[in-house]
Amino acid sequence: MNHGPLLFLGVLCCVVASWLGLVVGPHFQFGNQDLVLIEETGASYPSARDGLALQGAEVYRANGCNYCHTQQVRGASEGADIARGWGKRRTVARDYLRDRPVMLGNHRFGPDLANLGARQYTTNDLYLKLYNARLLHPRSVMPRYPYLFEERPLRPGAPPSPDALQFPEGSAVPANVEVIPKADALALVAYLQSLKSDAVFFEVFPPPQPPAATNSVSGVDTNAPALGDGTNAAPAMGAEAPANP
Amino acid sequence: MSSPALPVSPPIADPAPPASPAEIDLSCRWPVGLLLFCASGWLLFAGVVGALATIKLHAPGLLAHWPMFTYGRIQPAAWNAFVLGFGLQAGLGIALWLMARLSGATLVGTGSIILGTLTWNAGLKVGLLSVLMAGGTGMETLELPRFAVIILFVGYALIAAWPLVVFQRRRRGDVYPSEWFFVAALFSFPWLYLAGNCLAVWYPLRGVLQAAAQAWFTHGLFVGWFGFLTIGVALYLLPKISGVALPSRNLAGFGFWLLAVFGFWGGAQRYFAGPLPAYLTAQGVVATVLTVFPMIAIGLLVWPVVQTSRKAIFSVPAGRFAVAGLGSFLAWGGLAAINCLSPVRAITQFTLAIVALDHLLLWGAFGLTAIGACYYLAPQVIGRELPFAGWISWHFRLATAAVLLHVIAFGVGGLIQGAGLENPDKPFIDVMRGWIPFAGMGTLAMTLQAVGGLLLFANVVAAVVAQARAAVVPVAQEWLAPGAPRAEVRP
Repeated sequence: MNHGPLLFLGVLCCVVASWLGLVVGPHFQFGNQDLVLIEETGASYPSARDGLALQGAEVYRANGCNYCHTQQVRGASEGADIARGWGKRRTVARDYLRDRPVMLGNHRFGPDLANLGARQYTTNDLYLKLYNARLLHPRSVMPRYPYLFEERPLRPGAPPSPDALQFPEGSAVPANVEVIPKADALALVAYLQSLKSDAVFFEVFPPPQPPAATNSVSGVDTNAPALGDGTNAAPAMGAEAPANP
Repeated sequence: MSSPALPVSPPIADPAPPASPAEIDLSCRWPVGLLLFCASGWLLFAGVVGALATIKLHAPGLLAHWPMFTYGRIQPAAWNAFVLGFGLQAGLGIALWLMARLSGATLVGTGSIILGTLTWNAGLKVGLLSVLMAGGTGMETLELPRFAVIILFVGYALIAAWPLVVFQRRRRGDVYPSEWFFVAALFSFPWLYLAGNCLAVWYPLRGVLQAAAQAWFTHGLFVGWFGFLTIGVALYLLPKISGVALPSRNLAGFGFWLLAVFGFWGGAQRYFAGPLPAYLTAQGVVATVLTVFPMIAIGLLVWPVVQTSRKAIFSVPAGRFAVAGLGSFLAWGGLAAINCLSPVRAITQFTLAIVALDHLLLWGAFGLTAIGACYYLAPQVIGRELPFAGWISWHFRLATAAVLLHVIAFGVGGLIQGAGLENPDKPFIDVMRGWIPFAGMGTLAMTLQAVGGLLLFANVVAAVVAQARAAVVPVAQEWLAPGAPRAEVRP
């Protein structure tokens, strides 16, 4: 191996081969994936996000939410994600067709968010989580994001703003201050509420057991999918399909 | 790896006798000295910012009012400061000097290298600032925005062309194994970084293919830059310090080619059980397990050297650093292979254990080896002994303790976290509270790294200042001496 060109070409081949195999090959395999039509609803999946939610995705990216939160649900045989109520099924490549950038995340220092929009959080709950997650869950490890909100004194006599956060009973927030979400918070919450990877189509089918068993867990962030969200059950699943409540 | 089919000593470009080490060191003084100075500065910065980021894991309220210091911005900043600030610049500086020494040719392109270093640092600074100010791309290890990456490429081209020129002008017939690794690393990085940025960020592929491109890039960088340089430096330093030759050139070639063939394929296992097709992650698992074989080859290659002259190697700080670094690298190979097996990965996926593995490679394998090499070449390049030589041993103790502490704490914490995540009856909050103490140990480890970085930086700065004084003061004294020519007052 005393020949520079030989060395160069050998390494070139190694790098290019891996690039062809891991990036270019898969691109030709499923880079042309298209939206799928859900027959029951007549809508195509994944559905487009509205403008505010798209701005929210930018806020999510800019603040690096993906360094603590994943957006991927592993199958029932590979992890407890479904049992924890983070989704009804595993996530597949088609779920991310509209994401740019795709923020799958590698670390779970917080719960998975792939189906956050399908969980029973009110908009106010999500604002509270961003403003100070400990208001809802005293032991939460999530940082506060006060810079997404405006704290301003209540004007004497004037009614509080309709946009102000509704604090739970007993929270130590001064009574003469109201907290208004800024534009970034509005957009981010719109994006979080748009996170749903629960449509059922030919590629994915729900695991054998419905995740209802996790309702016994009283911990946070293990909410079972929202009630009344049964419109997606495809007829192809036949008798084995779990009956959505 | 000289196969019988090839001529034993191939034609070399310059048949002149090899340049003397003193000549080579003199030619390296400014460019390599500048790269060393910048790299050690970034090491200190990465340690401080890394400690700050780790604090945020267990004290999330710290500096919460400052968007700049939110975990999702400061963590990528710390990561990129280490990878692109210390990793690339220390790697380039070491590669420049070693390529010149091993090729027996003086370094050329000094001005271009200095300009490239300044360009690289400018690009990195604006890029990191942009990440801290909401401009990150959201792709791990590819966070820097496009304008910064383009500046980085210009800087890299201005620097990295020259070690290849030196290699081409080598005056020794035999290419030393370290040089294979350096050439491979110098060539792999721009390809990986360009393809990764293009396909994951600039002109992103559709959907999860971006993640595939990002995983390919990250793992390629781990093996193709950090791994190759770690081995290249260790294969030079250990025989050099001990005076014992590597037992087999063929074994080195075997390890090199096997690592090059398998190493770049391991990326997709980062998305184990994720939305990528299963065959991709399976490919990653196979490649990562197969990477153990080149690791064994490198281990067998170095073991006799360390074994026969343990005393000589351990008496020099650089030797200790190189042994610890190469040991970390082999440990990383083994642990990565175990980690990617699906029963293990099901536990460790998404936990601190993955952070621990990355840390073992970056701060452990490459960090220790490169710091050792910096201490080894700084006195020769700057032309003066380091003023605080006693601190070097302390830096070794701090850095190895920090790596051990970080990897063990995050490894154990990650396993606890993973076991908790796997148990759906355990409330999520309890799982999260469970790893908090281990994150605290990580902060301690990063603080030790920052202190160690300060020792290196102070040494380099003091040596440069002392050398500059030694050059400037006699001249100034001569100019200002009573008998020196005066500028008389004119009528």
